[in-house]
Amino acid sequence: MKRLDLADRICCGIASALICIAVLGSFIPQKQPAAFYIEAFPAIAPFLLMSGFNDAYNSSIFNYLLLLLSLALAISSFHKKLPAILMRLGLAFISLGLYLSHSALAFALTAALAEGETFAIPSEPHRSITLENIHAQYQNGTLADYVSEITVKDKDQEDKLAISVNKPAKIWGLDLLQSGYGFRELSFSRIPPQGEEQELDIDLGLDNRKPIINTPDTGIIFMIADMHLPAIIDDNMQPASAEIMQIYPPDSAPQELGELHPGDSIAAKDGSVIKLNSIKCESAISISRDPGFMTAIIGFALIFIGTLAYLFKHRGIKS
Amino acid sequence: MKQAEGILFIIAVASYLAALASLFTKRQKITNILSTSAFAFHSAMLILRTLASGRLPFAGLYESLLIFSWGIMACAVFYSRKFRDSRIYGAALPTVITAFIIALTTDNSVKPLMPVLRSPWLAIHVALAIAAYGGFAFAGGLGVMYILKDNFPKLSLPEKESLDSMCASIITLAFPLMLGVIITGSIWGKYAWGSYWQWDPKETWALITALVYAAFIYTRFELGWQGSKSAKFAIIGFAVVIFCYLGVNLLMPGVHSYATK
Repeated sequence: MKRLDLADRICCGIASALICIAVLGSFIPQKQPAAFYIEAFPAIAPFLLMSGFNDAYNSSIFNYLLLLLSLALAISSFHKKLPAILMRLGLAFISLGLYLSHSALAFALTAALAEGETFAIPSEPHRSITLENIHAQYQNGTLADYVSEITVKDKDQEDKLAISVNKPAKIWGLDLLQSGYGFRELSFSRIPPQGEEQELDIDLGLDNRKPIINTPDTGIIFMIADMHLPAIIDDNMQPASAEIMQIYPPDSAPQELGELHPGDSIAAKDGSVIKLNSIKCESAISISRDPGFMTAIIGFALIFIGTLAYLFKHRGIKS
Repeated sequence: MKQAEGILFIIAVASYLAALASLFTKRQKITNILSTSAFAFHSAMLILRTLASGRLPFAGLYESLLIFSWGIMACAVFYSRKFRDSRIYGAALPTVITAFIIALTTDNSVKPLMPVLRSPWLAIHVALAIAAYGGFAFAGGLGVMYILKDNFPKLSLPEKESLDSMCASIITLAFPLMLGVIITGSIWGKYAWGSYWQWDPKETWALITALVYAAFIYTRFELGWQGSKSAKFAIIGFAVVIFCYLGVNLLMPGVHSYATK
């Protein structure tokens, strides 16, 4: 039975350190504010914050270890046989790919754009993305996709693109992906039984879909039970809608009032009329550039071939 | 259709339990009949579910457990036929029965796929995962059998040499499939999330699993590890697979957490 040589031991040591950091990163919530770690992990918080392991996979230690492992594996491959060389080079490529994906060459952000809003690419302000609209698509009665129609502009040149889940667009070396949706603004009117019409504009965010409209004059409370994007159902475009609930008298259980599309009105229990004027939808678009992707895939492919070489070499596997 | 699926579920569990009990009777023919018929009921149940949902049964923990256990059993059926030894089922049956028991506690309603899962990559990614995890789980079972035979030589189990070579052969076949899981997952992730690698807990543990088995292959073929060392390695690998498959979904939130819903 052979023993590990020095080069193997160095590679194993670096790989073990990387695995330990990766395991730590999978158990400890990442990218939280410092106060979170001080409260949740008082014993190790100083170590986590000093080492950068509160964002383990982007920490300098982790990324330098990845680079070091890729170099150590590549250098120590020379005196090995073919399957071992392929396995080692594969792992080296994967480490290098992961390093590149988290290096300064990589770029990733998510832009939340309301319909009609434009986002300029940071460091390339002559390039911009405008959201024209976002809608859902249904097939056989079930939700199948979310689609954003966008206009991309590079100086004077404009192009129209559609991006949807699992179908990103590639432009200027960047990947544009449909990563979420939400509602930016709701505009209501309320016409009380006596008195003047009131405009109720509600600012929303991607995570805030259930605002409460409190009307002190009668004590009635309107709630948004749910909101829906414009949707293509059986080739027909349905506009966006909001499901409204009411609480009246106070402290009673919420009751459904109905689903409103822009322009629809509905009578509430207090005798007032609620009218939905407009819904402004928004799309979360991920913009990224990843220079490590192909390197890592080549790495996995090399290990794959290396394993096949072992299989071929040890056909029947009796050893 | 749902009632028929429920009946098949009960028949499959009963047959698997009977097959496990028959291992202690040392009557290989009975074990073989019970195991293969249980596997047939299991397969029929999955086909029914596919027909009922109009898609492959690759969504949610319930379907995942049934398909994972089907993968383990497929390995066991293949190898027991190849080596003409029904005692090999002993490496698969405890895990398969445990998977069925856990499946009983989960929501078994048929749900439509969410948009991100409506991709051709789903079928390739999950099919490779079933084969790889099934192979690793079966190899882990063989590792346990090896250790048992090593410590209790009088037990009616296959010869140590057969168990050792079978275990290594399965891991060497399952490992490239595991790489396939990671590669297809990375490419799909690039299309769906914009990043091929997000260090999501599932991704991290899938990589750790692959590294453990890469180390198994390296130590076996380059350093000549075999016997109980190899068997223990296979058992440790299986523990990592179980954590990657179930532990991560249950304990750590991430982009794969839909798998527990």
